[in-house]
Amino acid sequence: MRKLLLIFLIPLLGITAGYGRTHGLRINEVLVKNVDNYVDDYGHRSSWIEIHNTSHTTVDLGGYYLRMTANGTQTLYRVPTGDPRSVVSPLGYVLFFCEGTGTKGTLYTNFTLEDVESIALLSQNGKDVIDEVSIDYAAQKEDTSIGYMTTGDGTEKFVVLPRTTPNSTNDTEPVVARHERFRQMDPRGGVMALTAVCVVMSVLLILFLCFKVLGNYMIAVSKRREKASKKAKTGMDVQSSKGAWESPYTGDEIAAIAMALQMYHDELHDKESSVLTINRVARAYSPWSSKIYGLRQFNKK
Amino acid sequence: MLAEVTNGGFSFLADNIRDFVALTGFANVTWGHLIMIAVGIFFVFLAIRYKFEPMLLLPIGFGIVLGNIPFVPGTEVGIYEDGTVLNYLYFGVVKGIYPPLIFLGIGAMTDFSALISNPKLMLIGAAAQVGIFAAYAAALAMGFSAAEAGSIGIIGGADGPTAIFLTSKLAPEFLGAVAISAYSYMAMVPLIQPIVMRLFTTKKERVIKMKPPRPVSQREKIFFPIIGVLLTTFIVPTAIPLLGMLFLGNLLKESGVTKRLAVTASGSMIDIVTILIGITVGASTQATTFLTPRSLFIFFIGACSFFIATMGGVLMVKFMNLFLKPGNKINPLIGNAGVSAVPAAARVSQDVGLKYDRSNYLLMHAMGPNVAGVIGSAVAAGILLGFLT
Repeated sequence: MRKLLLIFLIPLLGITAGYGRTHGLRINEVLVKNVDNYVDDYGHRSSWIEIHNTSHTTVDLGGYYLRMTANGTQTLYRVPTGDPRSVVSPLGYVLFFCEGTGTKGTLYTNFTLEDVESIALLSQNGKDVIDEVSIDYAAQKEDTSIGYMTTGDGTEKFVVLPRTTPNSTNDTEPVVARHERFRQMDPRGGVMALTAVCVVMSVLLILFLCFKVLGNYMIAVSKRREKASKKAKTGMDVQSSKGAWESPYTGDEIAAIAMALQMYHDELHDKESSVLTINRVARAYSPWSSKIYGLRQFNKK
Repeated sequence: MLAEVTNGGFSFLADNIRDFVALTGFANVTWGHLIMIAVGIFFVFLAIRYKFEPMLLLPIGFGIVLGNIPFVPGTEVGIYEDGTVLNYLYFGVVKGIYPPLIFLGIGAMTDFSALISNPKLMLIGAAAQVGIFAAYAAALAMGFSAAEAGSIGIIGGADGPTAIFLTSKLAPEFLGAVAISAYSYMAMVPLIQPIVMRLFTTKKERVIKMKPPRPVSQREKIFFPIIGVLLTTFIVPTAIPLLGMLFLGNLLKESGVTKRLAVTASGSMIDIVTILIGITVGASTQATTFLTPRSLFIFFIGACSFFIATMGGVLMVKFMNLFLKPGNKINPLIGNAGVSAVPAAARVSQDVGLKYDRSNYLLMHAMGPNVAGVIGSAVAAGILLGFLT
């Protein structure tokens, strides 16, 4: 029964673990009207879509789909597999040029962004939407891109960007490192010390409370068991006192008999060992390997 | 003609010899190299002669010697040159791989019974972490950046692997100085701590006899790593690599069903990693990068933090004693063990305790705060990592 349970349980756990995996990909920036902006490898200017891998692991976009919806019609572009250019490094970027032929290489889609209504990134089954952005084509300005940007309150919003940033982060404002910000806010380290001591203390305090409770419980359990075994013993004593069976020997005599029996059984060897081991004890002496002649000896006291 | 050939041959030979001499250590030696080599040899001497943490000081000392043999840069031998043997081994330090492996071994060889039977000793381990944050504040005051101050502060935890782990993430340029400082002070625990212990305790307190710890069932020992890892890592997820491995190692030991794994983790594996971490940390202290005034500051702050950590543990015991009944009082001489130098700090408690009462054995009691200190310093490292990265 247990084995059967395991057989069902293990694949179920595997499925659950797989389900929880996230892609960490998003459409990070889109430039719809490229007039005097980023030039592709062929020297042409076309619309482009930037995909950003927000995760800390490498993702291969091979087999994923880009879907463009324009005038109610959807066009799919499947990213070819096996091309290293579609592999996005952790926190990396990849740019797809929407020049419409789909014959110039992995990073060139078979659609343009003419009259675009929405763009979506789909998973390898071509159905699950990983990220989708709606675009108002008429509102798009020349050489002005839209994308995610961190706003004043620290959240990211999909907005019109102050400048295009192909293949790089959209947050172009200089960022103060977190530890430096921390130092500015807490120049003497008092807040850090107080917070950290409180956290360390609370972690160990919680552990202390847990094990205090657990310890008390275990002591109670062992006491209960001891009581139960004492009770059983007393019951047996009462029974024996009623005359069920009374041993003619004292405890010491019983112990001596038990010990003698033990010794007797230890000395018995009714079955000889059937394994024959021959150890080579002779050590071959050779003056070639001897250190007696080659090394100076210490004086023997 | 013959003279020309002979002259040409000689000049070729002379050029070669000159080139060779230029490559030797003698041609490239500086005072810095010589000082560092002397420091390395001193470490080896301390390890062999006085047996001060020989498992650590000997490989570190030898590593310092190796790392400071002068050479011409570009000959692909230095620890900081890509693709060299030492550089590959150093990868485990830079990326923080070795410390969690050491924690796995520590977990597999540590018996947490003393702590489980008397859980209030955990609070001593927590109090001793005050040294970390005092050092952090001192480093900030001396003009170090917050990340650098965090790396320096962790020396106060007296935990070499944790110090290396945190510094590799926060301030890799200080790795050598912080590691050497942490390990040297750990080795000097028997010299530093008794002074503080005597300073903050009375004669009467030093002879307090503690109640013997109750026996702990195997079930409790199995519960400890499971509950421990869940509680600590849920609160400080950044400490997962250290605490996860520590508790895994302990579960391997206590479960009773993975004896081989526990033996490997606490034996061959920890030995191999200790050799690698020792030699690479030692070799990373090249005179050119190590001998700076900042390294001296790091050593100074490290020493202060050690004093404060020991003081924190001892004072915490005294504070707890205010609330404990006469029969349950704790001997403040085990307060020093709140720093996580396992088991050196616990041994110091035992030795100092025996000096005042030949029949007072504090070792088992001191192991409680000592292992709590390991957990505490890993949690503290997690907090620093969480705040400063």
